[in-house]
Amino acid sequence: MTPSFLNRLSGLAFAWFGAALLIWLIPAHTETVSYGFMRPDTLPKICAWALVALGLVQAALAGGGVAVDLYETGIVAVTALLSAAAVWGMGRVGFLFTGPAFAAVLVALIGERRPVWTLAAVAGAPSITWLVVVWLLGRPLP
Amino acid sequence: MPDLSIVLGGLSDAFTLVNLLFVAIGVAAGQMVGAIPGIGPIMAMAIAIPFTFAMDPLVAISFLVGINKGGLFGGAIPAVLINTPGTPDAAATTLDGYPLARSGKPVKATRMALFASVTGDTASDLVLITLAAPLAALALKMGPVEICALMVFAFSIISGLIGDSLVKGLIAAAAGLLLATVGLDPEHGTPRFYFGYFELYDGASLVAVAIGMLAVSEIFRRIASARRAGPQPAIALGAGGADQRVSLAEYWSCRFAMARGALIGTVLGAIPGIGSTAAAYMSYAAAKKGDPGDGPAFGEGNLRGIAATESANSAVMGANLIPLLGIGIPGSIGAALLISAFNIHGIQPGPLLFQTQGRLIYGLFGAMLMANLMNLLIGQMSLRLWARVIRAPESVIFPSALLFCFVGVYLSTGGLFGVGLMLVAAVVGYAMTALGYPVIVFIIAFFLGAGFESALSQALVILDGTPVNLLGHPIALALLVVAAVTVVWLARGRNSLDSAGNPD
Repeated sequence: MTPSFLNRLSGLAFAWFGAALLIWLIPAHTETVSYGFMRPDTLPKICAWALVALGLVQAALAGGGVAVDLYETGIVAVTALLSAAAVWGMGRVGFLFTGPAFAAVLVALIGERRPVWTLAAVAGAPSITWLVVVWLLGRPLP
Repeated sequence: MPDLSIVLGGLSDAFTLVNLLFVAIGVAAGQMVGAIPGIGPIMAMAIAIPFTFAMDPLVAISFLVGINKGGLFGGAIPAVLINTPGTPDAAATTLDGYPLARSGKPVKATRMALFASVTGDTASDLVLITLAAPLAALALKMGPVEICALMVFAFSIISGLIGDSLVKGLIAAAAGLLLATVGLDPEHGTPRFYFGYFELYDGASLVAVAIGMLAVSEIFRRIASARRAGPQPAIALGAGGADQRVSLAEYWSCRFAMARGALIGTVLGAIPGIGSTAAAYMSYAAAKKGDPGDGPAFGEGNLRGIAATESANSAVMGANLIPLLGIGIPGSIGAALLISAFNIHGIQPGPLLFQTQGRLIYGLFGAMLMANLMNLLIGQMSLRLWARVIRAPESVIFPSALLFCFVGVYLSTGGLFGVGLMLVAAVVGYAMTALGYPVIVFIIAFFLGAGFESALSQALVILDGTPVNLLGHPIALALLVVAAVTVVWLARGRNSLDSAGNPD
């Protein structure tokens, strides 16, 4: 995938999003009001039209830099999914169990094998966080 | 003119023991995170903001300003010692800092960076203190039509100057404005785009979006790159000695480079959208041009090269607050993050601050000057400690930072919904950055969105919905014309740059 292709693709994606806003999202998620210069859908519509127009311009001109690295994007996607799982886990079993487990998975993902540093990330960081928030600030954690 | 009792009251607040302690902690934390490549003061500020919830507003803002100022110098430490800038602002410092360190003078190079950083920063703070109040008084004379036009002007400048494509900048601004329309609309009070989540009734949380896009997306990226990158060999500081000190004569010989740097940094910092990296390179080029040639060549360890870049990138910080405090428009990521901190404490940044929170503002000014002094003292004392910190493994730093982000946003938004929103913002922020869409434009537009909609609504009522009535508002008309000219000028400038140097 060349930068030019990605620029065109991203431009088309924004234009499509703007069109989706105008056709579906704005009518479905704003209330109809029949008075006033600024209605609930006025600014969203301005933004949507701007996205359609600018997206098409971007697709046509394909300008600007792009820095897509498929390997990096893959790892980022995995990290984002793990983070989402950690948020779900915190809601279910709490921070004290999920925090260290999440840190351990991330340390393993990065490839750290040294026991001291692994322990610092898995036990040290969640403990310090818990101590600061619960003990020092007196605020509850999930 | 502000009441002298307010000024003195604010300054006395700044000099309380608790405030000074948190300024010192902030500066030390800023220097430390600035010294770790990949973290930087912006990420540290983003993570720290929710934790300031329990603090007094002045202490909280002073602490965050301390982090930002400490980070300005901290970024120069790895730039000098491992040829890797701790923050993007310090990239130009590698040009002469690293060669000087390799020639056996790493302490001299880092000390020069420290002195220049504090000098530039102090000069810029003094300009801020002098200009912000008159600018705010001028801004208060503006009506909704002028404010609306001013925001359009700010959008055009920010979209055009940040990033490498005007179209992408404008798309990011439109998307940020769109996100700002989530929640109750200001005129009719009807809910928009809440998708059944009542947490979105008040709009998307600025803290969650800012931390997600600025900190978490960067942590994701760094976790990915940590697998590949090997450790950089660092230059040891070695023993002290006369050769490692910066003498008064050497400091004095850099006065013009620092003055030019402070001027360039202050002017560029006051314009929303131009970052400190650009200021540092411009100052370096100016110092190189004006160098009398009595020392080593530029790029081979010239002290004036270090002084020029560090004074300029540090001068940007204070000047960045001029548009924020004067007219309520953030000029940088750091300023945008300070808005989150102000908001957490129920304070709306802008020209009214000088009337409603004058004591806080002058307290902040006092804290900024104290932070500069702390930067100098802590930097002198902790240089060897930070030189060790740059060796801390990323495998510990980034998982810990991510956990802090989770907890910080949880505390700030009061639930896991905000953490989920932060993750969505992180993924969007990563995708935008990878595809070249400037995230900072998105966040600034998102922040200004609600105010812009209100101002536009009021302006339309005043103008009776007829654009011709703008003729009765010459300042607004002039701002709109300048905005249009700016867009055309920047678009043409980009096109000529693309055709000259970008084959793709």
